[in-house]
Amino acid sequence: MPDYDEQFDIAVIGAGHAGCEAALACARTGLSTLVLCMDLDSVALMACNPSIGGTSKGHLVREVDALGGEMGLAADDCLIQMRMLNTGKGPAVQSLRAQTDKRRYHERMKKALELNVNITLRQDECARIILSSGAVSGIETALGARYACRAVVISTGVYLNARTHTGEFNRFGGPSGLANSTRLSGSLEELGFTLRRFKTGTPPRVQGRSLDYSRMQPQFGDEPIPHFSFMTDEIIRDQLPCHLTYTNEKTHKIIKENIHRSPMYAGTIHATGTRYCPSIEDKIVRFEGRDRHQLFIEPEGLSTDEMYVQGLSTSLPRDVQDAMLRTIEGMENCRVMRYGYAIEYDCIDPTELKGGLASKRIPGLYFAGQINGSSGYEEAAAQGIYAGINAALYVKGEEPFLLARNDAYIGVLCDDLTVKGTNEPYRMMTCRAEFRMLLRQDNADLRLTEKAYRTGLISNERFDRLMRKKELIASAHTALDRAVPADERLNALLEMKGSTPVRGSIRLDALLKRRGVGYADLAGLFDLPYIGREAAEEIEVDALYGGYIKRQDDEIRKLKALDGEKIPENTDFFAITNLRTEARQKLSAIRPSNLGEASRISGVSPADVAVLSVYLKSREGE
Amino acid sequence: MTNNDTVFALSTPVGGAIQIMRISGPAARKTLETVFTGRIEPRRISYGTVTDADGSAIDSCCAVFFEAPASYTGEDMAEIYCHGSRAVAAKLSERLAAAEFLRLAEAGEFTKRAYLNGKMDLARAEAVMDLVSAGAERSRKAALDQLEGRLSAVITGLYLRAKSLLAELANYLEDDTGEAAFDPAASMTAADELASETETLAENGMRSRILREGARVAIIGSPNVGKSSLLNALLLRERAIVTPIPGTTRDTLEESLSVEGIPVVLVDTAGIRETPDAVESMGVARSRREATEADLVLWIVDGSRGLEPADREILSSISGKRTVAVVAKSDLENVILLDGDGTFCSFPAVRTSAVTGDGIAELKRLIAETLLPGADEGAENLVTNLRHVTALERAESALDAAKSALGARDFDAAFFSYKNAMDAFASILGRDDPAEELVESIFRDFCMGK
Repeated sequence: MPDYDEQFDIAVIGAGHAGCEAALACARTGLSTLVLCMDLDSVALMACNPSIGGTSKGHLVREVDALGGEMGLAADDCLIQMRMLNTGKGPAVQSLRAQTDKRRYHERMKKALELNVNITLRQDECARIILSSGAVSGIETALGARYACRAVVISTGVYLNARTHTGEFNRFGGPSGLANSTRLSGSLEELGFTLRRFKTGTPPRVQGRSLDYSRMQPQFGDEPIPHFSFMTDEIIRDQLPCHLTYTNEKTHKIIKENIHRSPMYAGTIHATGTRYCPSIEDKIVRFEGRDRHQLFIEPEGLSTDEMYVQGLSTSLPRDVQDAMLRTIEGMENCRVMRYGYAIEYDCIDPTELKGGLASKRIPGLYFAGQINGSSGYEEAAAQGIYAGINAALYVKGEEPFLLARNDAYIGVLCDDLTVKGTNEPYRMMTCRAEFRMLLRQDNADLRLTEKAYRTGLISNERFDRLMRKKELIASAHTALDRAVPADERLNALLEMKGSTPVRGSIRLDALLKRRGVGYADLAGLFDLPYIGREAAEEIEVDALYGGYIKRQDDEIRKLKALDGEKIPENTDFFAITNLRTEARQKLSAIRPSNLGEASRISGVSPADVAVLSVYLKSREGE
Repeated sequence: MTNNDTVFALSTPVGGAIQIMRISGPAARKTLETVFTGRIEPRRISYGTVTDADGSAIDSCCAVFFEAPASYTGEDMAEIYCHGSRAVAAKLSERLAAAEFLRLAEAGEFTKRAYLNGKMDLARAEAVMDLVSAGAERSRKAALDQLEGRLSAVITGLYLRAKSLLAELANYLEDDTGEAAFDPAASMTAADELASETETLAENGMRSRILREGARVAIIGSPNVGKSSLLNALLLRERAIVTPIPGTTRDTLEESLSVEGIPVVLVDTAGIRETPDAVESMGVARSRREATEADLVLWIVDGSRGLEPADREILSSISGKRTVAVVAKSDLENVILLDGDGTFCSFPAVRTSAVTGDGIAELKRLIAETLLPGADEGAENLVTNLRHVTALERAESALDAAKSALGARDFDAAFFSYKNAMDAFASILGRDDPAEELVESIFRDFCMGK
């Protein structure tokens, strides 16, 4: 191809959390992959909080890892504190969160890209997507280079036409003073995408030396240190604490007095913000009754004294930020290093995409991360690996790799985005997953690793580890399949666990159904095989929640039946006169690929789905 | 659509001499085997009894099983031909609705399934779709009519409360900063109140069901107080064999009649007493069961004889049941006196004579009044749709489950149950996307975020 400078299989636009996973997924399956990034010093930049994970986000990281992704491994390598959250609230919501060293995380991830022989990492800005015969055939950059490729993954994060706001001051530019991307938006509009404006924000960073930690509550990491990756064995490292403090009436008073100077309230920003990660000014206005809000002081890394003030996201002016920070206990002499800001950016309507995050209209075009209207590093990484895998399969001419709502949080995330769409930056939550009892962080490998084997991302070692875990689980099930006589030692154990004593004999698997009784407890008494903590966790959760899990299985069968009913791409919903008008409009706009998706669109009733099913049947064989 | 589920519905209007209960789907055979005693062989009609979960008879009837694809719907299908009684239909519907693997068919669903399984030609596709959408529209309209005003307000109130219970728990579970507060005891109390209000509503719904579908009235008493004579007097014909020998009625007898416009199934039972006779004692056991299951008990005592130990035993066994006391044999010299307000043992009571017919009209009036008390019906009988009643019952049992899960601090299970309760209320209201409403409610009501 003479008019192209270089040829690749795939180009990934942007090297944030989505782009890095997408690029590695493509490259690891053997495809030559170009990664364009506006600034190579900000590859995998953690532009906001210095942490990875949290409720449901930790689930996503585990899933990315189970699919052979990088985020879990990198977070394990760069963590400065790790905690298992929500212990005591049940296995469905237990989740890991790591405080990470931002700089090291960037270096660690950049190196992973650099070490991969199939990846070309280049600093440049994508200006245009080139199509031929309606499908992706290449890209053109700001520097004037033209690269041939058969698929493009667009993962531009918050950089498209980005503008930041701090009080009355605003400027066109990306996060943290970086340049924004001004060319690609126009190209996307030419391709027929409707762009929307979303907004997010970040809190100020303050100097650690200026804080009085003695007046705050320290929060330490777990020991032994838990880890994200199913490939990590053990982490031995010193951990740093975070510190808890609170806003107070004085802080709130300053915010209220200056609320008119916030660009959101002054009307300078017209973009849609988040409800779940509200700025402090939003919290004060919306939750007037609250007399205080929690703040966590989190280290940005080991090589810096910058501290992230979690909970204080704001776009108030510089002087107001200074004043409000100094009302906070332990922060009276606080010195700001970077002021908080709001950022608005272009994103697409994700209902333009189909399962696998591919454009419904343009073959070879994939989107991942905040460009799809999501928020969060983890949501981005999850979409990145998913879009990367599917772009690679597309290039190879193979069937897409699709995860359903009952397979993974990734499935829920992408189904929500592409079928329901979102009117604000979308954040993962456990309560969005109707099969949350099945989609636990502990079983991400059991759910996904074998399924993903055909993608080529699963290393032999990862696969062997999974097989070993499955063997251990099976051996434990065999060992538990018997009754034991109730003796003094058993009843002493039960008493200690606050459980009622047993007379006669009892089955071992029945004992495991008792709250507080773990596999290790029984293993000690009854000579059961040693299976390790991870396999034991599966056995225990299964024993306690088997009933619920089974009930969820029934729901899944219903879901699968509907998802199995394909809707042909050329279906003219307006021609189905029996559908209600609203349903016709919604179906035409979103163009679901099966009845299950159709049923999840708001505005499409069960009766509409029934009509649609009859219509589809009548068209079969035509 | 692949129909993995099995549906049932009464396929004939209520009121004919025979009514057909149709069951279609993969579990049709299993269902028929479970509820019907007769032999099951495809396309062969057989005679037997449809029974309740405990094995007691609902009706004697014929049934036939059609094996897929040779059936109207093209699926495994069963039809039960039972007697044209509302009470029988109601009982059988309840029996089927209680089975986990069955659900009530939607409007036009049998036809839709028939179409989907290729039992009709393409030309009929449009017609079927018209039917489906018209059916859905009709039920939507009916639902809307029913949901006007107070009912809508009441159910919406219940829904919002369930949602807020769920949102509070969900927010606590979602929150990983330790900021969200959650008080299981307070949540349990609120769930308890919500469950009991839901129960009341569902019960009132059952009352209106009685009006539409009939009531089961059991005649209970110790041997030879005149139960069978009373049945005959109410029916104005000799249905039961009456002899002066105690224990003549060995099994239960059922008869349908209309009492002041309410369709009633009268069940005559064996006299309840300790007996060495094996057959009679089986009858006695069934009598006790009838007493607990009936919508109304007619407790018969022999006015000429006075209360005996057996009567007192019966009295204690029917405590809490809706009961009318019948002091029989008023033509003989009576030793039992009614209380000043006309009650006996604090039940509304009437003296009757099967010989002269005295008191029978008054008894009918009492039966009607006790089954459907009060003129405040309009306000109370909000829920009349069986689907709605079922949904309310589902919500109630989910709330109870949530309560016990919270008691055990099993928050995952509590979340699951609260969500089921919310979804059950939402299904009555036709809420489109309760899951999204939950997310919104969490964001709106709780200060969530980092």
